[in-house]
Amino acid sequence: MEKVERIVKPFYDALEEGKVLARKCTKCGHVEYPPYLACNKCGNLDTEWIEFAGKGMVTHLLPVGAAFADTDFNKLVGNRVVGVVEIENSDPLNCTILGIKPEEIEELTPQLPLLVRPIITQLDGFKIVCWELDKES
Amino acid sequence: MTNYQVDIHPLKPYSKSVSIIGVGATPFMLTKDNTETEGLSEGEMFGAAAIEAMKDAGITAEDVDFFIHAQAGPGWQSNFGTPNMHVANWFGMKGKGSAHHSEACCTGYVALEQAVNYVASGSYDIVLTGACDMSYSAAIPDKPIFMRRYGTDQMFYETLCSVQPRDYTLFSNSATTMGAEGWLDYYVMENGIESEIDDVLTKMAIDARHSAALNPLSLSKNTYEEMAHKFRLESAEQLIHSKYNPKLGKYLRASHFEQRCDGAAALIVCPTEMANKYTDKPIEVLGIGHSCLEWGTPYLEKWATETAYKQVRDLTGLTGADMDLFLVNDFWMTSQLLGAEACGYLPEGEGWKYFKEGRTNFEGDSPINTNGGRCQYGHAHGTSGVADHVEAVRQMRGKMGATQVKHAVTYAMLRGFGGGQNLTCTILKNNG
Repeated sequence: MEKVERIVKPFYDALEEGKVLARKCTKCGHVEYPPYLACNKCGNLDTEWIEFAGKGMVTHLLPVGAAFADTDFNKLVGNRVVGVVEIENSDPLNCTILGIKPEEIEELTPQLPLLVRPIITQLDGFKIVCWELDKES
Repeated sequence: MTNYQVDIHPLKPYSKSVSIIGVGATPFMLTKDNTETEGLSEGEMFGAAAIEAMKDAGITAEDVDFFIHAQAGPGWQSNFGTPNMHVANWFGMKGKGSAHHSEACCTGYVALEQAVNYVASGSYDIVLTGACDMSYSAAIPDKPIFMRRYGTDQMFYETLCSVQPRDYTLFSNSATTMGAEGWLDYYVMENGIESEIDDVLTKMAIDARHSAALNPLSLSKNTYEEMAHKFRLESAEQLIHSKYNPKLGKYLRASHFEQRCDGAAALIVCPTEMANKYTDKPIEVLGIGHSCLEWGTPYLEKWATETAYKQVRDLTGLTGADMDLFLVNDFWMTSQLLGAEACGYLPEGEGWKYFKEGRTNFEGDSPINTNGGRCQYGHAHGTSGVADHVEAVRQMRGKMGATQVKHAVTYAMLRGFGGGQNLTCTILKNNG
């Protein structure tokens, strides 16, 4: 082996440029989001970079209870809940959904699944991917 | 819900059958808060549990070929880089082989898996496996080990963060919430029990506390009824819903989360063909299913539980319905319900009724967590899984005294959970 390919740093670097990257399996086409080296669906050992430009569907919403409240994060992002986001050809993920108040969950739940889009969010020294409802859909 | 059950290879039978022949456990306690226990350290705690297990098996340290040490957080609790060597001299094992492992709150279940594999491989005959966690009374890195400091909430929060992969998951700021209540929320909606769930969780907590209060090794010494009286409240139910027991999630209150404490426990295993030489009630390990999913995966506890259960079910031909006792890691108490259903111990979609009707306490026909579980008996993290095996073995021997279940226990199932995140499903058989 001559060198080890970096995966994590390019992912975070791309967020700085407004891009969300993933890795696609060269054998079965499964999308590893967030990106890893190998395919977790078929076990193939080769994946390649793709830019993730699509949307996802949120299938479950929950309020953040006091036991797991991150007050610094709450101050930074404002209204937020947690949700399960399903992305086509990828595995579902636990995600932060911005712009929803906890008391709105009861009204939104019967409407699930709802379309969401990634929203790149600045934290202290780096950016992460959160999601928001795609109200244009 | 998208099915995310992982397709993993089936378990194969052990090359050699293995049985538990000895058990030992310290009380679960807050050592730093009691003048009689203040200053206790890992060597004394692990050593005490190991010696009790060896005496229970009728052996001495000379008979033990190898020992396995487990601890959920050797770094933050004890500042140990070589945890097994910090305890090796304490129970007569100087010079013998040993190893350490750590899978957070699943550590104690993996402890048995490791020991069984050492024996089943044929490498050793008698293996001691144990754990010691002192997350309430942590060591001070540059001081003698008897000097302790409180394991603060801030230290524990950082540890909780450390069990989430820091490549991506930790920064999603959502995994713990969905982990704690996502599966429960789905279960409530799926079964239409929005108006029932609070009563179910209340009864679950009261019954668990009752079991814990009767157990001499438990952290909790009084029932919720007794505590209610102390607070001048009318009933345990009123206490559960009072300001003394705040709601910390959509459903869960403080009484439904683990109580951190200090403790140690140990098991002795050997080939089943040798077991009757040491005990008339050997407990055979029939199989251990094992699946891992990290925190970013929605409903990971459900999917990995079902996978681990399927493995051990397919290996043994036994289902949860064949079991006489079910023990489950319940650092959030709802695992008692959800884990029991996922492992076929309680009927799908009906388990909540069993709790509401009191059928899951030690006096019921479907006993679960007869020691009271993590939220009431106490949670010494990696050690709790070993302590669960101690509880199961003693129940199978009929030696649990006030909390002895009311029927013979031939088969017991233990559902482990923890790590980042390990899920195990173990079936034990009483060959006595």
